[in-house]
Amino acid sequence: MGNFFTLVSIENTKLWKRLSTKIMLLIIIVIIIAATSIVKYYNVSHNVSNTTKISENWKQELQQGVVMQKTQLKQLQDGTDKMSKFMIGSTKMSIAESEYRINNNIKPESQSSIWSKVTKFDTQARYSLIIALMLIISCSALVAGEFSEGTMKMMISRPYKRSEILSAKLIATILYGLVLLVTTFLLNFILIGIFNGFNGMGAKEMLWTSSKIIYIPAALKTIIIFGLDFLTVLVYVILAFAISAISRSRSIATGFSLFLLLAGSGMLQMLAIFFSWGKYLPFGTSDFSSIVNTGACIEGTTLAFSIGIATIYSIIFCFAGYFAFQKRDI
Amino acid sequence: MNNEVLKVEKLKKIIGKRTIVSDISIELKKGEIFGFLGPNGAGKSTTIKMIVGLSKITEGNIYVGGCSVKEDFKGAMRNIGCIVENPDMYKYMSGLDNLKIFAKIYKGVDEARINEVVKIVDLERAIKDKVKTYSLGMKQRLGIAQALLHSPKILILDEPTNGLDPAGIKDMRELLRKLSSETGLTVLVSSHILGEMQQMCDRVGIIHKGRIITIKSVDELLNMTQKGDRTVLVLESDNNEKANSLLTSMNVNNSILGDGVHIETTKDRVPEIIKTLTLEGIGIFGMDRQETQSLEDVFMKLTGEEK
Repeated sequence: MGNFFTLVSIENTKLWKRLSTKIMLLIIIVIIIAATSIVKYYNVSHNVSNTTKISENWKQELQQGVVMQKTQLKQLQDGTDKMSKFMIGSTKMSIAESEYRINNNIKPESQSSIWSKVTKFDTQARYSLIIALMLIISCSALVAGEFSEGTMKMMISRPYKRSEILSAKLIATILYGLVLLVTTFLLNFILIGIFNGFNGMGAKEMLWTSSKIIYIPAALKTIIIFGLDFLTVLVYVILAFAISAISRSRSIATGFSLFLLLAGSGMLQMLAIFFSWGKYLPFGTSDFSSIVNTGACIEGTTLAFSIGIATIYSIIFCFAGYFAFQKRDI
Repeated sequence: MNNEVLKVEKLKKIIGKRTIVSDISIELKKGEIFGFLGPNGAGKSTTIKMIVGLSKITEGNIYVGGCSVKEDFKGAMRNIGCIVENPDMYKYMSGLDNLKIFAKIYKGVDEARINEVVKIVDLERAIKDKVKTYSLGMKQRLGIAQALLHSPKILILDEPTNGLDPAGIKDMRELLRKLSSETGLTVLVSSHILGEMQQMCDRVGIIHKGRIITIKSVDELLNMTQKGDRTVLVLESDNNEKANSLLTSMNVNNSILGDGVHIETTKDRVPEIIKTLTLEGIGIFGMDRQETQSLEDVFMKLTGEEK
């Protein structure tokens, strides 16, 4: 086992010795600083208030909203328009949230906590997409890149099993992903804190589990959402990894994975909306954080279901990648 | 224990329906330099790739230092240092960083050993530069340094002189000779250039169309060129035309080429030829046996290819 860790550290060194690895980290830092500053600048120059007035009779208002949403929900469920069905999840969540507030006497917050700001910024700016993009690039460099550079044969003719070499590469990529994730989180948190104040550190928030609301610390919710986003990223990384191992071509691996990430997942999501079997396809339901954040947009899916489907496909991708790598003459 | 550092047993490789190599059996003793000789596509690289674990073995087995490549892959690989095809290293790193990375793989390869191999391949000055700035010769030497790091029992080099200039080829030859005589390293090299093999190797295995045709020592191979008594001599004289016509009158097969008169004859007639030429007043500057040419003849004869 000790030997295997050496291999991981070797792959890690190779990854970080690449100039592109450092540049990508730098790009993420620059993007976050720029995005946060621009939003702050806009808010200041347009006098956007970050507090909302909550009226005294918020319960009645929420109640009215719930009644309205319930009729809306019924229309959606009875309707035949498939497209509008993706609203069902978010409507359900909204009703559940309002009812939870009414039943447990939780007044809507007049000012959102730093945690919810961080989460909101992260999901709106879609930082996880940037992380995925960078991981796909570095993962295909480590696997397919070594084939095209000819260095793969230098690694294979060593006292290691081929599967160990491939695993070390995957782990090194994931470790790099964690570095990007932590950087994104910390930088985002610190900048938003500096610009808007570190208030509401101990605030609590509602988390929608597709069937009920649980009331948890806002910090935990933020971590869960970052974590779920990272899981989504991992699904694409594993795909890129498998394609790299099978095709040995960096451009095919990067191109195909990016296409799926940016366009393909939307198309598969449409399939999942229109056909009941669509949700069993890969990537259709792999936007995990949206399920807790805005409610599932595909009927009959829950977080556990989506993660389960994605896990099964990830295992299939991995297996295909390992199999090809194991059997191949290099 | 067995004395062979490398033992290849009835090796066979089939890709799809094509048999790439078959029935390859070789044994390499400690400290010898073995040359794998054959035209392009004969199966040299395929065999080497199977030895170093890059290609799967269809049939047969390979033992490196007693460890089977099939059953004890890790053990076998620990005994091998190799360069297959090109000396591809991580171009974005310095030579030293490359060596450090490969050193980590093996236990007991420390900084001192890295410096030692850098010295052996004479790369001290450029070792901190990025590999992308290296010339092919330097890359080849870095490749050898990388292969020597863990003091393997056998060094396997696939076409090590490919693309090198004459000085580079000479350096490589001397380095390999030195390594095998000083440290008892066994070396397996492949090449399609005959002259090179002749100067570098102790024994040569000739491979053609996926089969080993013959395994002989270099001396034996050279002797074969003189068998059957026919030799080709190149005569350099002050009057080639006259020599040529004289030879023709003596019933000797000959022709004038750029570098002199080429004489094809049997050994026992050589003194007679020299005597006749001298008596006719022709100044002889030199008369050489055309050795490389003859080795090529042997090769062609063995591989059954007409020139």
